[in-house]
Amino acid sequence: MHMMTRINPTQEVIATLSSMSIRAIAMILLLAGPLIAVAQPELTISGTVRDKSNQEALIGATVRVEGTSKGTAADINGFYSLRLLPGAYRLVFNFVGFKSTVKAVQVTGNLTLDADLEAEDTELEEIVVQAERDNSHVEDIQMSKSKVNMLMVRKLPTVLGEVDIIKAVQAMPGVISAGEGTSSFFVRGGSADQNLILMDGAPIYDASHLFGLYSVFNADIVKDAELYKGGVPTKFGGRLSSILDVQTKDPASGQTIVGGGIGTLASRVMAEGALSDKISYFASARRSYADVFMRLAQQKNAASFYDLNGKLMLRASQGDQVSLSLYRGRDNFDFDKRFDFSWGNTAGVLDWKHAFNDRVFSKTSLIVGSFDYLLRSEDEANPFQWKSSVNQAGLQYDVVVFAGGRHEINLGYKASYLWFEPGTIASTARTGSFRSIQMDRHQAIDQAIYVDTRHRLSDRLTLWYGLRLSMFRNVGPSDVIRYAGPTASGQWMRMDTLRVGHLETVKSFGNLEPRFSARYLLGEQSSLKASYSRMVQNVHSISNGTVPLPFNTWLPSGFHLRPQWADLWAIGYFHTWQSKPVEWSVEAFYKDMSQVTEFTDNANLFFNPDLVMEVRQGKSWSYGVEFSLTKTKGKFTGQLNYTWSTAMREIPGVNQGIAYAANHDRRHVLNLSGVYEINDRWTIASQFSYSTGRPITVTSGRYEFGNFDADIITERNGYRLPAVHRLDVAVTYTPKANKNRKWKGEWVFSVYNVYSRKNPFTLYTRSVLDKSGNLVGDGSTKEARMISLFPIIPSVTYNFKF
Amino acid sequence: MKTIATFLLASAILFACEETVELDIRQTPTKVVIEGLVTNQVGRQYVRLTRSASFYESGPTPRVSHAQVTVTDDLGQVVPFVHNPRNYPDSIGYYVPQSPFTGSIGRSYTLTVRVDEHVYSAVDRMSPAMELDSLVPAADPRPSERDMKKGRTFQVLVFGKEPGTTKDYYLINVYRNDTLVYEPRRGAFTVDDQTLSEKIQGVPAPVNFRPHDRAVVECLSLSREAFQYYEGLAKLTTGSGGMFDSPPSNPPSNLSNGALGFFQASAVTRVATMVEH
Repeated sequence: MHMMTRINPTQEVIATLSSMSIRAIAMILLLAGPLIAVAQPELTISGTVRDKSNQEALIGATVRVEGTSKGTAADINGFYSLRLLPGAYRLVFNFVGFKSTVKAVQVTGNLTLDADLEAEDTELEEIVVQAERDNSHVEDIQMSKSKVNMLMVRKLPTVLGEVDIIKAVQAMPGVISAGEGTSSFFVRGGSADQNLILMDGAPIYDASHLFGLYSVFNADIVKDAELYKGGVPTKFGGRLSSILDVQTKDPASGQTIVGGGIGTLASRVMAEGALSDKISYFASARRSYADVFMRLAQQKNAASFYDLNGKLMLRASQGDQVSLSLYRGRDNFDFDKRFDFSWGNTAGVLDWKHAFNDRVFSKTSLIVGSFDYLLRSEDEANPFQWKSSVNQAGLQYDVVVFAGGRHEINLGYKASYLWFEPGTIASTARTGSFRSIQMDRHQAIDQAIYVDTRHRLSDRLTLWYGLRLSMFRNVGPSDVIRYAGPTASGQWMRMDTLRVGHLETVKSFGNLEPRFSARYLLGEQSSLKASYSRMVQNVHSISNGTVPLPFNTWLPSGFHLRPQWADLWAIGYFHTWQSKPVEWSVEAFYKDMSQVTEFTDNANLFFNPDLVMEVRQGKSWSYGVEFSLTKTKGKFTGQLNYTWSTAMREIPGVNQGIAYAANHDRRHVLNLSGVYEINDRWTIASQFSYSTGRPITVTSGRYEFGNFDADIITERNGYRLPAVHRLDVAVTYTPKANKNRKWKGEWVFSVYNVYSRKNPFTLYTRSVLDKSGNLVGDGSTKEARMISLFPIIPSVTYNFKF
Repeated sequence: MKTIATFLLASAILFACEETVELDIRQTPTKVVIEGLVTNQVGRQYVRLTRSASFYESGPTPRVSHAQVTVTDDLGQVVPFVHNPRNYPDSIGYYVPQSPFTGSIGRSYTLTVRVDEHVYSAVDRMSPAMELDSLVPAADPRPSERDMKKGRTFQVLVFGKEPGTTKDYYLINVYRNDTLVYEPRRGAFTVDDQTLSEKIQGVPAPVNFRPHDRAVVECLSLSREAFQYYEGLAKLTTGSGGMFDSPPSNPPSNLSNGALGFFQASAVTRVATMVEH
């Protein structure tokens, strides 16, 4: 049905302005106000889509006008807005994990229509409204995005009983788990530091607890988690490979609820309630007690972590909502009081969401965040303390304009001040023979201005295009050391020092990041999508290991480091079956990256004030195909994801300048998960994952030098570890609730690595040793040793609510 | 970093399991390995020539005894080296100066080695070593378990001076009863003067002693290239498997033509003591 064939002059203006000039963005920002004033012959129908049980906004819920191709998706506040000609319509509301809801409406003037959706698992009998299917998979223009299905994640097997959304992210198509013992993941050939992880908009620099056994995201308080690995909206930027946008739940305004869980290794508790009819809150805490067990086991070593989350929400008026969300988490390890280390994130976000009218919405956020790690040795002779941190404070202003049924405009501005303390090593002895070493501090001002517009060209074709201008300024006070001499051979010398004053520019970088997506409907059931995005990264993780660890020093682009950038092209085919709640998609991508960072061969990494001279920047490229099949409804739900991909790097000074397979190059990755609800008391879930082994650098021979028996290395990442695969199973038992009691509980029995596969964690070579650790013979007999981490681990968790 | 790595492994891996596996390694052609040393001490100049072996080949690596070896200083003096002139069975592959020759501080030396049709060369400059004043034994307040077992409860404390104005690097050799202490899992003891104060007042040597042991601490000056070579060598021999370390790579050699090893010119200072109560 062709609603409008004449071209609206404002659309032309926008199309022209969206071509790539900076002035254009400024103009759009200026014009945004007047634009909306242009009269349309249609009326506005708008409202909020919420979860019926707790009144939480359902981000991304779809609203369709039955019998037409019109539709929209709810924004970050659960808000939607549609323009319709006067008449009678039926609106269909859909959201993953919720029942489809249909509302009939007579449009005679602008009106508000809210929808409260019911979760699918709350009712026993299936009253599934099958009049309309959820077709957002095919119709949404956004490709290369995966949403964590929280309902399913809560049922899936866990490690030692803690539900972890990062584990779900690691199983998504195009995502590769960095392996056991880490929360890191690799997206489409990018390294782990190229993922931006946000908690309510604040950056989380390291998402791991206990070396990745858990993540910082306590599933009790997570509402939504979405991973963008391509076609990224312009409001996101700053990292090359992905954005993981995690939103914590909105506190329910009803009566006080207390919930929690008692697990094998950690326990958690949360409370949620209302302080008045406008103000609601939640607070949650989680702590591990491995340290308690270790102490009981007479272990001198201790390890622990905790998470604290809190949110306060003020629903000031129909159009205004203010929320304050806080997080703090930390890991502590202590080895017999001789040596200890810790790391942690702190984040705070103050949000003000405002509706100017039923078509223009804004969100103003104050965001602070910090990550640090600390290593301390109490060694008598050379006690030291090593501390490194990255901090930021900033502001973000976003505006969404629903300019009629054909247009949705997003625009905004973001500014933050970042300060980096890459490392201070302080000798803590009073008469030590060691000096304190302070690595240079860095500061930066990171700004971005962005606009994108969703533009429905016809019933079949929708475009989404935009531009982000990122401006990164490395500023003083700073003593910039300049080096002379050949960098490649490591024979450089310090030349002189440039003194840069407070807030003076050391170096600044401006980058334009065009983004483009297109969706073409092939019919009701399938669509083709394509996207291009450029991403720029100005913070660089300087990590030494081949597998990501929390001890990452972050440095900004500046005098010595240039910004990294990536161009990503993707195409995809998306399909939903008419008769079954099954959808599948296939996507292919090519990614070209420049100035990715890597340490040079033989880099001196520890306590090195000239660390920046050990970093090399070069190119990287990756390509792959991702297949995903999902069954979203019914007694059995499940997902199959398969990715074939490759990732290469070529960096001067690394592997003698020859191209090599990146650490995150895994050819085949398969993830299968399924949940089967046997009845209302028993649910069984299982998960299987397979991945090609990690490339690793090993020796090819040996030689003698002095007393040393040294390895010969011929090629970086020239050897491949065996494949990694594992099956996990979980059973959830929900006892029949006593109607007279508010108490609700459930038991989760989990088995990790059911067939106890010895998955390779790492491999190293050494001289053969006897049982007491002494060299056999002259030490020239060598062997290769492989370490694997977790065998079969059963666990039990009890979750409760009252 | 090594200790941290070990601790990390110990903690992250409550359930970990480790086993020997067979590596499927491609055969690579053998390489010439050169270990050359010129010092300012009489009788302490040599060049050792060997060849590399494959990973699963154990025992001593093949020696090279038919090479032509010369050392030339920057004044044009050419010193030919000859192979094992006294035919000691344990000195096959060792070359020593044909006529008496001692290096001096501030000079640069060029090594030239011809093996079959291939010529390998390297240059190194001799810097001054640290000034060592005395070595003082003291009971170790917290000896390691391993040292305790062996009765090595004494430290020796080094006193001396380090010229703070120049950028210097050192190799520390420790001798226990005149035997060089060599711990393959710790690497060579190298020092970058960046972490040292000008006055060295009782820095414990990296090795413990038993009462009545004779302790010698020796300081060899290193050029920056030599320091980087030893650092690289230590990383290679002490690496815990590439998980927490950067990926292994060959140490940066100063030898041309793809030879492995290093040619080093070092000044030497030493202090000695008897460990008594």
